[in-house]
Amino acid sequence: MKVVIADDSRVMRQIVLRTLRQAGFAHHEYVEAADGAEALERIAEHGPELVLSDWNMPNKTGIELLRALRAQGNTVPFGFVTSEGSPEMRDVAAQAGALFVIAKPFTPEAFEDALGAVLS
Amino acid sequence: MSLLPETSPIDDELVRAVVDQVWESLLGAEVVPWYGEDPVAPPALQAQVTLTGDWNGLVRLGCAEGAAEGIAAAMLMAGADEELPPEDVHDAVGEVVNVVGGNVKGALLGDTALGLPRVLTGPDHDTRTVAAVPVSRCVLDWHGLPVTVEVFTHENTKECRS
Amino acid sequence: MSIAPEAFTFVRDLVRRESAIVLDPGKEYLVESRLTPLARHAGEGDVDAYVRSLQVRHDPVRSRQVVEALTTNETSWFRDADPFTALRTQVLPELAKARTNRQLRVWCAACSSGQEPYSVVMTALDTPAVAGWRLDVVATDLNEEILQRARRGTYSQLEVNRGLPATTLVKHFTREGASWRISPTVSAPVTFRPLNLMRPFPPMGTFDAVFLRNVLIYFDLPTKRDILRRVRQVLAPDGYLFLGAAEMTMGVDDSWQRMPAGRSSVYRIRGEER
Repeated sequence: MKVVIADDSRVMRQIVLRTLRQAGFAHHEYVEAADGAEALERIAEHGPELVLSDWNMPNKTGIELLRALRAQGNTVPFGFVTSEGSPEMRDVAAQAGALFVIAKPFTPEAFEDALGAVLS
Repeated sequence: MSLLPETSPIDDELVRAVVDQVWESLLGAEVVPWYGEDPVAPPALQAQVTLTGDWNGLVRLGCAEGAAEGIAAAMLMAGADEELPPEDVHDAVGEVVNVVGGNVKGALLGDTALGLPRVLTGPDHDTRTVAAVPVSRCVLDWHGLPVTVEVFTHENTKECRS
Repeated sequence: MSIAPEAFTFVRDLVRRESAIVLDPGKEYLVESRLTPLARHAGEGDVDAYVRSLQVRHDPVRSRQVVEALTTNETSWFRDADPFTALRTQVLPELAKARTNRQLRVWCAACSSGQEPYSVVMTALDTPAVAGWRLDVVATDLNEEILQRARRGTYSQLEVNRGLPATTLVKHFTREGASWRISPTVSAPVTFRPLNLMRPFPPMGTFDAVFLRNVLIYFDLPTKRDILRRVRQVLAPDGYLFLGAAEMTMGVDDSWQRMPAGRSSVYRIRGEER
């Protein structure tokens, strides 16, 4: 399966990738994007089965990316990986159509719980 | 206007708990308090993220370049002999302060937005935050080098943006 | 991938032999991340070296540790988030309207090291509709050793990092050296006791909500059916059953009705079965 990872921090993308491997999701193809606008392009190009996105990013935030996708009629499963995991943010994410919110700092178990149903 | 300035939910205990979680999960390291002399001179590197809205303030991490390199290496699980490019080092400490900021924001009521992390070094150091009200401060020991994590609040954050 | 294929095969065979749990290919990183602390503790350079030491000389203690590390499911606080949102926004407010005695009883039927019952209490403390109510949480597990840990209510930094926001952490825990201890406000309503779901339940009274999450998956169909039937007998007619995200009663015990609750589901006993 193909997964797009959008985060403006290259280091954080590396950590997300490492944690995905530790959570047992090593055998998927990961495509990286450095902001929301780039993620939109990569998603159009690759047609992934899942998008993992940061919330705060330049050139289109994560929530703007999700809304843009849904406005295009794209229903790709979408989850946030963000340092802000407040109930309000979770509500906003859910209303926009996100499947889950993983809060930073995270552990492999958080990815196992959230992604198990999507990637297994 | 600050929200409930008298009973700010942000205090040393919360910030230290956030730092403990970030150190363990992101850096794979235990927090060691700094028992040396309090670092008074401005640190060589400052990573900061602003909070604006009902609560206005700033989360800032300050340390020497060597400590920032160590933190970045720990995050990337890089070997001791591996030299990381400066952009990765800045990116890494920026993310540390970003995650601390996001978790500090979680303790606030009302509508507050987290900015993007910025890393300042050398002459473009932001010293204007000195005028702001300190809310919390802790000094940690990163393999013999002090690392400060501070939270400031101000009535108007515009004053401390450069 | 850095674990050697031979090492993975050896561990996979060991775990399958000792626990009947199968580690599929692709779980190499899981093996590596779970065994790294053991390897470090044993003074071995890496997981491969550690596994090689096991291959060279049979060591029952180390073998058991390896099996435990790979079969113990590390539990998160507020696991899956959605059921606890449903509890706070829907289930507790509805029960609050239905109960005049201001008392609620909850059963966590596979409580492991205590994260679930304590999460239930913290959620109830956060729900204005049941503020000041008497809460009684019965938490059971098959494993007496894990119940001891749950009763102690002390968790490592790594354990509190699994799903506990820092604000909740400082509100409900106190620092104790390198660990965190749950506050008496959260632990007092919880009673831990051993219970085997396969056997008839001991007298426990009636519950307003039962958490039976991620445990039915380990049983065959007749056992699942039998457990769900006996849960019906201890659940109030208007009570709620919580199952794991991947579990459902459909086709197992059709006396249950699935109801949407936020983004997850809860189950209630069908009207004609009450």
